[in-house]
Amino acid sequence: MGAKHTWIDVTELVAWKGFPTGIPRVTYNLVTRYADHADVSLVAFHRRSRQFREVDAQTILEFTRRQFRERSQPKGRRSNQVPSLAVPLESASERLRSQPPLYFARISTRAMHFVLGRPALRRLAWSVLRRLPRTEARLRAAYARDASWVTERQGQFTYGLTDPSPLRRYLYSMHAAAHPARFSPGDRLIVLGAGWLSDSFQEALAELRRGVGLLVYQVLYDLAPIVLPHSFGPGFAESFTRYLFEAAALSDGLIAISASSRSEALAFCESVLLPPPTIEVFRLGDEGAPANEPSTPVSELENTTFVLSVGTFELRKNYHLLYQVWRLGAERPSEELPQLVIVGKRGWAAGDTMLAMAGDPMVNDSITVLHGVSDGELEWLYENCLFTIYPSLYEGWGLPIAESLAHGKLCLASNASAMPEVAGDLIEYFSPYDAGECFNLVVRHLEPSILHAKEREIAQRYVPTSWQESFRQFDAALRRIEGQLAP
Amino acid sequence: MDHLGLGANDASAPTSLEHGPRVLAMGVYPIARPRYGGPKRSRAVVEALRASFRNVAYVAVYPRSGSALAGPADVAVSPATQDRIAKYPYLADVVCGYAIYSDPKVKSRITRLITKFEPNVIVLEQLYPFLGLRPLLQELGLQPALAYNAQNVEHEMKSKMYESLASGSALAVDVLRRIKRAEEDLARESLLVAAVTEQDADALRAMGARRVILAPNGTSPLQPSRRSIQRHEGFLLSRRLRATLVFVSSAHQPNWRGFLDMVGTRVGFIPSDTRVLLCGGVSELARTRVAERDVENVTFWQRVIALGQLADEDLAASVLSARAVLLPVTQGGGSNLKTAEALASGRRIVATSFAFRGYEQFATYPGVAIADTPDAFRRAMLAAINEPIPERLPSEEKRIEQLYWPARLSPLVEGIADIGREAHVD
Repeated sequence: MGAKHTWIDVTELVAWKGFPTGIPRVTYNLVTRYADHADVSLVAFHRRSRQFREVDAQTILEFTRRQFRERSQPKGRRSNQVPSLAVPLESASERLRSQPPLYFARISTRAMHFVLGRPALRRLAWSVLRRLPRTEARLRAAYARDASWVTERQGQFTYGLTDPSPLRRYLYSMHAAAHPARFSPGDRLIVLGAGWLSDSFQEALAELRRGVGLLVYQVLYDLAPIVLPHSFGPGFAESFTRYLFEAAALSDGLIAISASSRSEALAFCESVLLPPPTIEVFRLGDEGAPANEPSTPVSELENTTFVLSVGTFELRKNYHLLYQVWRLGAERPSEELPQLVIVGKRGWAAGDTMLAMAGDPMVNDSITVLHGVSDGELEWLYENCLFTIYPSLYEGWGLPIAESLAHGKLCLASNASAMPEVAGDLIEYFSPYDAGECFNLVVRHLEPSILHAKEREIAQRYVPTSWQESFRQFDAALRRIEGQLAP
Repeated sequence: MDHLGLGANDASAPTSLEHGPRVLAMGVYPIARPRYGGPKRSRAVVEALRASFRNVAYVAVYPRSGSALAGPADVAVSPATQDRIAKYPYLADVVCGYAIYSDPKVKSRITRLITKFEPNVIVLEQLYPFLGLRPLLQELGLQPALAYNAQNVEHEMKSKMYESLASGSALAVDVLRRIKRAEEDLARESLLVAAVTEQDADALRAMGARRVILAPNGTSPLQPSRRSIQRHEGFLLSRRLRATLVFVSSAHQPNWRGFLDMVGTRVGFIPSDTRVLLCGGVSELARTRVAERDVENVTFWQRVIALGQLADEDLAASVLSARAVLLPVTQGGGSNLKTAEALASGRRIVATSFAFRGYEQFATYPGVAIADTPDAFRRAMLAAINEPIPERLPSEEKRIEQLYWPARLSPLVEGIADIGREAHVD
């Protein structure tokens, strides 16, 4: 069956806050390969109007490239100390208190929403407030901030309303002024990004599918918030569950980033008696970031032998296991471990582990935590480490494993979820709940002959996946799904 | 007599049968604003009697917590009795029944009512008022004709209920024994016994009932207002819903159990543009029982909306705009009043065969799907969503009209007229 026109949803690229990692990176790499096609257009979801609006491909791709370039620059923020230990991660309400809305908005968020939600009261309020200089602008600003806070508290993680970047603001205004996409029956809409950012996103997709007859395909990343709900902020697991339930119910097909995610999604559908959609699998590319920065030495590690671990510093990445492993090493002087270098921005519920690593005199000199590392520095870290280690409790894929192998480095990885899919029998695995097993593996691979043998095997057998190949697999998966749809 | 709140009927009329017998109906729940099956039936009985006889009164002896629904003639139990109810809430009807004799306040009010109203016939709504009325009548030396309007075979139903609520407790065993004995006594001593199903009628005959008539549960036509229809349409539009299925129920535990048995909390089989609407007290039960944050519970609320208690007109609008009415009844006694209401609504019906006890002749009507396994029930729900609502033949419509209360209760009214006459002759 031939779809008439292909629409790619790039809401993440328009609205993602902060530096583009993970999902925006996948979106960018696939979109750049779709963007050349004449029958492909880009859209992004405009939450307030619940519409998908057209986005200019050149603008959004250039904007994302700039972000990658920005990302690749060193931020000068690296530390093996624990920042702000007293407040592990500020909650939304704490943030609100620290940044109170402007004067009358302080009265009560609920009261303000009550007024703003009723046209007559809103008109009345604004007719009064307009007489005060700049009041309306202040109200709008306060409302925007509160709207962001409220939706986040409800577990609908919104975005964009508080982003300060002028370029980003330009992008928002461009998007807000854009025409709604003119979908036709039989067109296909491919959602590459995070469809869980707003409940109304999936609702809008369902309406389009029913009303217009769009074919909807969505990328399935992982089920981490369902498998490990405690490793995310309050409310997120429920929000994500609603997303997955609706996405699976409405999509004509899902394209998963691993067989593990696919089987978990099928099990999810079965658990709630949801007829499962067709789910195909494609492999993510493991080329470096698009900026392709040259290798840049990290000066403080230039003469150090170290093991590298890459990933957001959060509960799910299970760095506490590495703390335990290095603590075991410290207790056995005969088996001295090299420096452990952890590279990752700080995420959810990282406080206790950071406290242990920074405060335990047995290990605090042998563990280094780096934040704000540039792509060039990361390249150098991969090139110069002994091997990498990835103890995550759960992953939809495990990009750091692939990146490690692409650099010819062995990765000792957790045997959970999708991680064994990345490198099969080329690498060694341990239970993410067994520090002793992990310790023994680390010690074993400190033996140069064993490590070099593994590196030779990786060099001979591991074939990195380019994003072009990833795109080819994605497109093929899409066609397989379309081939299975009833005419 | 006005202070007794007996309504428009003239309680001071002479005791001849010029205006039919003087009938006092007694129950253990108020019927001024009935919400559920039992009170709705009792209300319909009283209205049917009032339509035929001039002197009809109803009095409820009820727990104080039910005062919001009480009428002026109803008698709330005293605080001491209320304490007992609070201690054993599942025995509320039994305690209220005994209170007619044991609670001084209630006894005084009922005595005054009986001696002034001088009923020829006392209609007992369920057996519970009989527990206290029997010794009271003996004490007063009165022997009015008794009519027993049985809504269930009570001791069987209570046996199942107590099994889940107070399994094995000595109190429950004792109360069950008392209920069974009182039920048998009442069946024997009543000049007229009304049953809602043939099975119940057989059971009551086996207890020694002399004259048993069948007066099945019925319904009234649904009457939504224009505003209620607009409200409901607006609700559907705001949720962008294509179809709804309704489950109307009280917070009666077995009703919720039936929903769980047949529909369950795994509701992914329901299309994304369809919702099951929970109407009535079952909404609160669902909210408290499906409150965890796990996958099953979170997704349940993606396809189910708890509307809570609705005004009659809003309930009518919800039912009449639904694709189907769900009757997942798997336990309980008597006949299901909701079945009559569902049949009268003209909507599709997805029901268990248990729900059609007493309505067997309607089970093959167009648009009625009987399903007795969860799989079959869910398939029938899907079919009901996707298929048009079939037209009924005029003859079928006529038979539906027989479900309305006046037709259903006419044997009871005639029977009471008869025993009223007999009592007068005696």
